[in-house]
Amino acid sequence: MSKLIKPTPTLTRRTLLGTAAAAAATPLLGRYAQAQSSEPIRIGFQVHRTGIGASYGRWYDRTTTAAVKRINDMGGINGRPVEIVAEDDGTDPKRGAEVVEKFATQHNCDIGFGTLFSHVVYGSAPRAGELKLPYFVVSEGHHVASGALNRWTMQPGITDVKSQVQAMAPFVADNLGKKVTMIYPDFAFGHDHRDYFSEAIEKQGGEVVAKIAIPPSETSFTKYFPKIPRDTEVIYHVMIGPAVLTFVKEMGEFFGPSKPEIFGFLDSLEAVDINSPGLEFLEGTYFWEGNPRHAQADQSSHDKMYREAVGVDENGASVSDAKDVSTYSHMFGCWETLNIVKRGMEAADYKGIADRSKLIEAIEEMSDMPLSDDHPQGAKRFNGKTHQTFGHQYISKVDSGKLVLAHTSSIEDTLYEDEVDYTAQSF
Amino acid sequence: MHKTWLSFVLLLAPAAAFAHAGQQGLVLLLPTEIYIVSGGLVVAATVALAALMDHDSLHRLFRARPLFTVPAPWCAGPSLISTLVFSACIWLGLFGPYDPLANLMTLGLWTVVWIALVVLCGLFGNLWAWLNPWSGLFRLLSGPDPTPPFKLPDRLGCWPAVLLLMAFNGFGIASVNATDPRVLAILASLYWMFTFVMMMLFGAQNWLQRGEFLSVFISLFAKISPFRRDAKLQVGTPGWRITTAATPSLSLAVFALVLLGTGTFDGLNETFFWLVQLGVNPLEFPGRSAIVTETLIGLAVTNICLCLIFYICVWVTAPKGQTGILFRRQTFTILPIALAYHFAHFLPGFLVDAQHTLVALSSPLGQGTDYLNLGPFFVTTGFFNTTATVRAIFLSQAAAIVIGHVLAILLSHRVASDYFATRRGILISQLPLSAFMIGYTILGLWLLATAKGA
Repeated sequence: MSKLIKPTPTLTRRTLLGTAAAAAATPLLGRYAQAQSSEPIRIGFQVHRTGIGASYGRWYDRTTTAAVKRINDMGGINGRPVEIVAEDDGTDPKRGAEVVEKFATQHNCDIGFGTLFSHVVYGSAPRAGELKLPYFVVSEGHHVASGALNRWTMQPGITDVKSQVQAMAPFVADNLGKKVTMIYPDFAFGHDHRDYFSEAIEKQGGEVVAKIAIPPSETSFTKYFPKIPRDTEVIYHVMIGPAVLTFVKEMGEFFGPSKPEIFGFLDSLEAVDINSPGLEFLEGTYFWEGNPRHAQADQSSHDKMYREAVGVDENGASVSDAKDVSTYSHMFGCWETLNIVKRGMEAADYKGIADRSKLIEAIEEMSDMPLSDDHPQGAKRFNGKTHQTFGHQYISKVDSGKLVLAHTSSIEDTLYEDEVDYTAQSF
Repeated sequence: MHKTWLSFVLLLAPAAAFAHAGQQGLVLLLPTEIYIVSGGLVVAATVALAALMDHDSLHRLFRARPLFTVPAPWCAGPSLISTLVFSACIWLGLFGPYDPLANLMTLGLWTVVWIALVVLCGLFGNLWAWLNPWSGLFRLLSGPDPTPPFKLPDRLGCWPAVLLLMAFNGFGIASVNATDPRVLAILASLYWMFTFVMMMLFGAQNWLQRGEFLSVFISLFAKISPFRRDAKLQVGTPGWRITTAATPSLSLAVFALVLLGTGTFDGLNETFFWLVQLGVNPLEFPGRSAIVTETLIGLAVTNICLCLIFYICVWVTAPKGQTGILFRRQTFTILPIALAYHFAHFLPGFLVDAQHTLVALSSPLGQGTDYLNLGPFFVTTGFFNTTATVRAIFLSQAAAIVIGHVLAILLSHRVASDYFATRRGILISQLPLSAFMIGYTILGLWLLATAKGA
């Protein structure tokens, strides 16, 4: 798809810069004429085009394209059009750092944006900090709020995994059961879930009765199911990778019709059709969703608008191919982040790269953001100190092959103690 | 330093992990064990069938039939057009979209040439001889048959092409910049100039046949094609041209094996199995840059092992004094397997990137033009999400692997018939190679079916 998203397809940056008279005479550019400069705001889009993140990158790209089109259709930012400069990071941290450097030193970008995979964020954020490039990640990682990064790195458009996991506990304890068996891959991702959720469920009066860690290279799981204690009321699973369908199928075969309540994270099945063969067993089970994939009965006008803009149907699939399921739980983060950047630049009266620190400060000042076309996933509460946003989490039940919303967590359920104050760091 | 950094990432990074099920998840649910065993049995049955064939039937099987006269193609024209297209791609690589999937430099090399054109040449013959971006311009500037100022030493054989192929493969598989349009444009233009200079120094045909790896590569795959244009268009069982080919030099024989070895490693290096050997968590692939050295070593070791194993398979039963010639001739019989691996490995990616290519052709500068009148066009990967389509893709890949091995078995028996007088002699001589090919079938199908994490 088109990468250089501009108000008119025939304009190049040179014409935008060099021929003011011609620009004024161009109807589409006239919209931006009130600005002192019609030079585009250049947003460096660090996209997982190739590598293991490519299936997410494709949807991040599509969402970003749609968000920028909307912003430009509304007049751009501070009267200037927005231009996306997309660079592939290969879902690789070293390449990610190179891309960030190119944004800052070669492409003359105002900000960097859009990174998803945590290891790429870790590889790139220090370079963004060194180059003083505002770097907006859309990653879900706890890396920003944990204090591991720097003042130039922010995650304002998507919540982090720590808050997500913690917000699940009240619903699980109140509705599904208090004795939980956790099944998770035996590395840091799984350990994070284990630790965050164990603590949270205990606060709700529940307990984790078994912790079943599965080696990451495992592709068959039948030998692990007998380890599930008989008094288990809820299974909490966070399996990921290609074998996740096998996991679900084998768990279904193990339990047969009499299964305990089952709760999982949709990360396992993001971009996968919930009606895939082998997933029948998921009927009646619950999932965390970052943003409900299926349009709900009480769908907001904002979600409707957002779906139409991105080209996603009521089942969360591409309007051009009903089998092409989107990464609906994550990609809204691109849309919302870009709208926050817009508001931040407007608040800071951003004029150019000299105002980059003012942009960071303006966003640090932000707090509550209501459900709106800018925030179709739901209201947000940004924490300027930790550079992390907090928001509603969704729990859906698989009902007749659809994910039907069963619970919306409050923002308060997702909050935790600050672990860092980036505002105390100098630029 | 490298390890320390990797540990840091492994310790801290994976607060969120996104490795998802997708196509490979559905493949893991297919009855792939049955497919693998069936494929192995088909190839084993081919060994039995070949054992029953005498000299005459083996020769008859690979005898071509002349059809009709076809005019010689206009050699310079397509190549000159190709040079123009290549130049446009270089320009786009340097000044077009940074996004590799929107840039025709990247898509032109990896999708159009490396996948589509290579496979087409394997099916229909050496189209590259007309379409390469050098020979037309060379002919225009130097005339049809100039005497080169220097002679490429005979002892160099095709080793320059082998070295360039290995360098290209190493870059393509190990480098994280292998799809970067800017990097590709610079490397491709340097390579174009280097090749053109070498053609001027050593003669066009000499360099294209011995030094320019892509021409050597495609000319070998073209030997699998059922077609050949001589005085008349000849048609035969795919691979018949291998049976009539001149005995290759050792360097060309190694080149053929490197094609297969690289194709094998390209599949292997994505698997859980390989990542676990490297100590990498397959659910948390750290990126290509973290394993560049390991990848290059793995690529080299795979190729060395394949050459050694293949040599041993020939050596065990070769008549005294004929091991060398038999080894060199038999290496060509694995070309159908190499082509099958190429097709199978790249098919899923091609189905997606061909769509990106279409979009990029419609909007080469990535600025929203729509020369092909595609209208709103969203690249889809929906066919990776249903069992029916995933099964169809898997079976297409598996069928290619099996057909490649069946052809290879028949070809190896046919080649052996030139050196062994009796049916029994052929049979015994081919036992090691046949076992190797049955094993390789199973390996190839397993590579398609096993879990992947990179």
